Amino acid sequence: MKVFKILFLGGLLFTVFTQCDQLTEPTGEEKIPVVEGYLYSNQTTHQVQLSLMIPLTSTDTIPEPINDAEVVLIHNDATYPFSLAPGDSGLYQYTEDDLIIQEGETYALEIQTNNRTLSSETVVPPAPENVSISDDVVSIDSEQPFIEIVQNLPEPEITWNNPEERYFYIVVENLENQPEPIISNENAPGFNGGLFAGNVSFRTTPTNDDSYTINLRGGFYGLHKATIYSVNRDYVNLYEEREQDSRQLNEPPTNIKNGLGIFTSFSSDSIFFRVLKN
Amino acid sequence: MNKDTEHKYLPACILLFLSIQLILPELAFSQEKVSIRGIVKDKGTGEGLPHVNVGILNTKQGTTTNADGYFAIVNLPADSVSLSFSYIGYQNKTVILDSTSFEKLLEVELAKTTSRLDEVTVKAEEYDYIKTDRISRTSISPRQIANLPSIGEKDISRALQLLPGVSGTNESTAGLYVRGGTPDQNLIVLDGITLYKVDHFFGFFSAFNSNAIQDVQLYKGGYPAKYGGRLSSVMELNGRSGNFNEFSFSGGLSALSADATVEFPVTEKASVLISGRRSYTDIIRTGIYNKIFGLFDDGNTGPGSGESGGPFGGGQFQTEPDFNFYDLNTKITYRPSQKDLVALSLYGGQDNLDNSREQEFGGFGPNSSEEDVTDVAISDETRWGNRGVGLRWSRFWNDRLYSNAVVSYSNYYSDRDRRNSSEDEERAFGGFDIKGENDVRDFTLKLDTEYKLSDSNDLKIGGQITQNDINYQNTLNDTLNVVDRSDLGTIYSGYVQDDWTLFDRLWLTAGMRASYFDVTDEVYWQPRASLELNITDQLKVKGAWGRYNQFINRTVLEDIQQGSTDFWLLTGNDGMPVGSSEHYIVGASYERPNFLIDVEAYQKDLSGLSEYSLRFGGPLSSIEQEELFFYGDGTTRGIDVLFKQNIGRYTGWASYTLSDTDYTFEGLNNGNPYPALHDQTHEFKLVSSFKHGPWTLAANWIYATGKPYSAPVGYYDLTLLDGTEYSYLHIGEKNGFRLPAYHRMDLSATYEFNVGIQGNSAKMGLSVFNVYDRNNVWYREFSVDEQNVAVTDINYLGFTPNLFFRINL
Repeated sequence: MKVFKILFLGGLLFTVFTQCDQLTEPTGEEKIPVVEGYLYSNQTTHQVQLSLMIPLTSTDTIPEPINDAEVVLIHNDATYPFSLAPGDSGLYQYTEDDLIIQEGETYALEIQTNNRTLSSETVVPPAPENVSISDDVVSIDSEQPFIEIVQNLPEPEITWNNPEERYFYIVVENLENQPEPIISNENAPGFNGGLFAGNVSFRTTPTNDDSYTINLRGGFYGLHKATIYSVNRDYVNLYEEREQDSRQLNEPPTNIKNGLGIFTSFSSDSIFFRVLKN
Repeated sequence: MNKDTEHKYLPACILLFLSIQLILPELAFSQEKVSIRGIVKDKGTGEGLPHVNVGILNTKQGTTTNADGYFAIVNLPADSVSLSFSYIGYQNKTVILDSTSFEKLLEVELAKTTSRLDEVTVKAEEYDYIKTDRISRTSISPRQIANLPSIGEKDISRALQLLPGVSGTNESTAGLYVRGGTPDQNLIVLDGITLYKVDHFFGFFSAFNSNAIQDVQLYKGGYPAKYGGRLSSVMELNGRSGNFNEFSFSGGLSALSADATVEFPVTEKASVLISGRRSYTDIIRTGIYNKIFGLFDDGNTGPGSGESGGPFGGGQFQTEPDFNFYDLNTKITYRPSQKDLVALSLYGGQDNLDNSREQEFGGFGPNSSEEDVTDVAISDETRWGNRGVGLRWSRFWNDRLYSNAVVSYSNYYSDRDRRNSSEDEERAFGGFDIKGENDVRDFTLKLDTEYKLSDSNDLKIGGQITQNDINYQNTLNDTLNVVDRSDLGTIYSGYVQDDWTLFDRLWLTAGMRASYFDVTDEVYWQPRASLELNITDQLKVKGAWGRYNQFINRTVLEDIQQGSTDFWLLTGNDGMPVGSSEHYIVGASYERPNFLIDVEAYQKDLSGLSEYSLRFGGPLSSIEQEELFFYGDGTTRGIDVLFKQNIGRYTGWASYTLSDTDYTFEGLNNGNPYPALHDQTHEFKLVSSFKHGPWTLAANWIYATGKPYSAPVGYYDLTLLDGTEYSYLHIGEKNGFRLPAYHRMDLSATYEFNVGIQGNSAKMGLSVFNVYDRNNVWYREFSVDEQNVAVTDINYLGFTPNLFFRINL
């Protein structure tokens, strides 16, 4: 019996004293490049931003730009080298007019930096079709009390075809040089929330719907432009669940091989509407 | 005879030898052999006692009673035979048979071990909590575990978690992690009803009301062909049938719930037991309630609150959620003859969480008034539970043939309905509407038959048909179906199993289970075998091997902000593979009347595992189900050691598990192996109980290696096109870090006494969970702000006392 007791006590002591906890605090010093590259169809200016991931052990809060990379865009076997913008920016751009991004085409990105090759590619999504708006002119009775103005705000609805439930995001911007707010922020700041929130434009998160109702709360009178951007799934994936804990922590989505970040493309169509003050 | 010839005849010789072993007892009738059939009952209530060991004295032969307490032994010598009966939690008994014993059903009554005030000594072998008899099989006494420390309720799952090979560090689930398996790989059967979730109160208590359970058996691996449908383990519970002798009542009260059990005979042949529990946490919020609920509530926001910054951002607010749980067990048992037993079992249990609240938005600015304020009512109700019914008919057709037929229905449901309603612009406030429903229906028809070929050979043949009807919908804002699945599948299974005792020393079980799954249109063959060899009367070596399949998977998505979600899905659909495993077990045990040392080494190869990740689970993205799941394989291997000792009033055990569980998923960790989330290298447990007069003092101590977790090693910002700049964490190797070691000590003191003129027994006690208030880390939360990554340790329960009281009338 004593033998067993000794064995178990010995085992207990062995367990407690030899089983040091393995690494409990993350440490990581790896310098991993981060790419931000967005291509827009029918445009000739293209930019790619390069920086380094910030290690958790670092006290820096601003990422270190990468200024010594070779950045090349490849389309149909033709290569388009990007050049570094002036300053310590990490911003690479291509401004020649021989590269026009086309819908449905595939574009590859290759980056050489610090003996590391990063790559990615994107297929430019088709532009939204049959974009229309329910009212291209809406009017607001500005003589009403503020609360009634907000409650009676017109809601122009943009629609487009989307039988395949593809993804879009919407940008609405006021085109007036000196836009007049629907409700003066100084007189009634509490009424100027909403998506405009006192700014002349707003952008939405991606949606796979085929319509969008514009909320004019916090917006302005005058001419507006609504642009529907068709986006790829790579971009939608960035809107991942924000909360993460150690039980289900996963690498955020990235389509950059051997690096982090995003390289994707967009196509768009626009429509205009006017908000009148009667 | 050359070597080839020897090899040629060797199998035939072995077969012949074994056949002689099989039929020899049958040929020995000249010695006048008889058969006996009997039932073992509780002396106080007349209930049949399952899994009682019945031994023939001075031999190594014997049997065990079935689920109803019946047993049969064939080929007994007609004279001078004594039978011994032993059962966990009951006093041993020896019965000397005479010539009349063989003419009718032998009725044996066993008395419970008690701690009467005048009791001076307790026989060591009778004072027991657990029993390990067959390879990887352990029984516990639900009645005795009341003396062990607990969080708030005496709990069968918590008691099983004190065994080697069963993880004891998962405070937030009552499910069992057995030898590297997950809770969904553990088959749970209550009176023939398959249960799909056993969590009460976010998993801190199990849904088993131990007052209604007579017997629990846990197969930690290598289980026989009779069972199927799960990859790792089997937990079989036999419900109490109720008092056949007189009306009785017992009731109890703890810091969380109250329970009551009534049982009474209807006729001499029938009894009824009704046992229910309900928490009173929606009426009185005790300290233990606040502690546990606090772990799931972040203190100022309710689930799905729509944290500020989102497109439909809301505010922060205080909530006072209502929570309660209940369960009800009912069993009606009818013995129409000495050969038949019919039992109807009903089970229902549910947890309800109402997190509804009202919130005011607006009214900002110097010119605002009360009229500008918008009231938003958020209705947020969650419920989950099981309900089931099982009808069982068992019959002894004769001394050799026994059959047991069960028809059962089981339904597990988990629903969440969160809705906003506001006076104006409802989508601008309060967050999303969420509706999630998981409904699992199980219809099972099962027949088990057992035929005694000889006194040393039992042939078991059976079949089972199970139809699973599973629905899972998860909807956002009434329109966006994140997941919408409806699956129907039927599993047709049959098995044959032979339990054979050779030379009084070798116990051999071999069987085959075949399952046809109509979703995949395939037959799954699952051979199994185990053996035990008594080298001496004390020393035994053993081994087991088997293949297993699982056709339904449970996925747990633990989400603090949105509320935890789990759901079952049928395999074979949408790329989800049928799970399979292979067990290899070898071991040895050495047992003397006062102590037992048992060692088992195991390896379990798993394939068809699935992992669910909300990596792409953005609230606005419509998610293709296939993208959320990853599929892969796993291997778990380890050694379990149990040392158990009874010395007079003291009983206790020490258990140690060394294990390693690795997963390999093609889409995760670059396809490299990584430790499973529940991997624990070392786990050491000490359980001690000491009886002194009316007092029972008990203590547990658990030490375990910290669990693995993934952690960020860096972060980066991306400016998205809606103008927001998001920070993203770069994650290091998956589960490449370890949480600090887990350890805690629990203590309890129970005082038994008599009350009233009739001397009704009662007990009261104090149980303290985590006595030295160890901060055991449950998981780590990471969030990125402008300055750095904040790491928050979310801890399990700290020091938590609980008072309890129980009376039997």
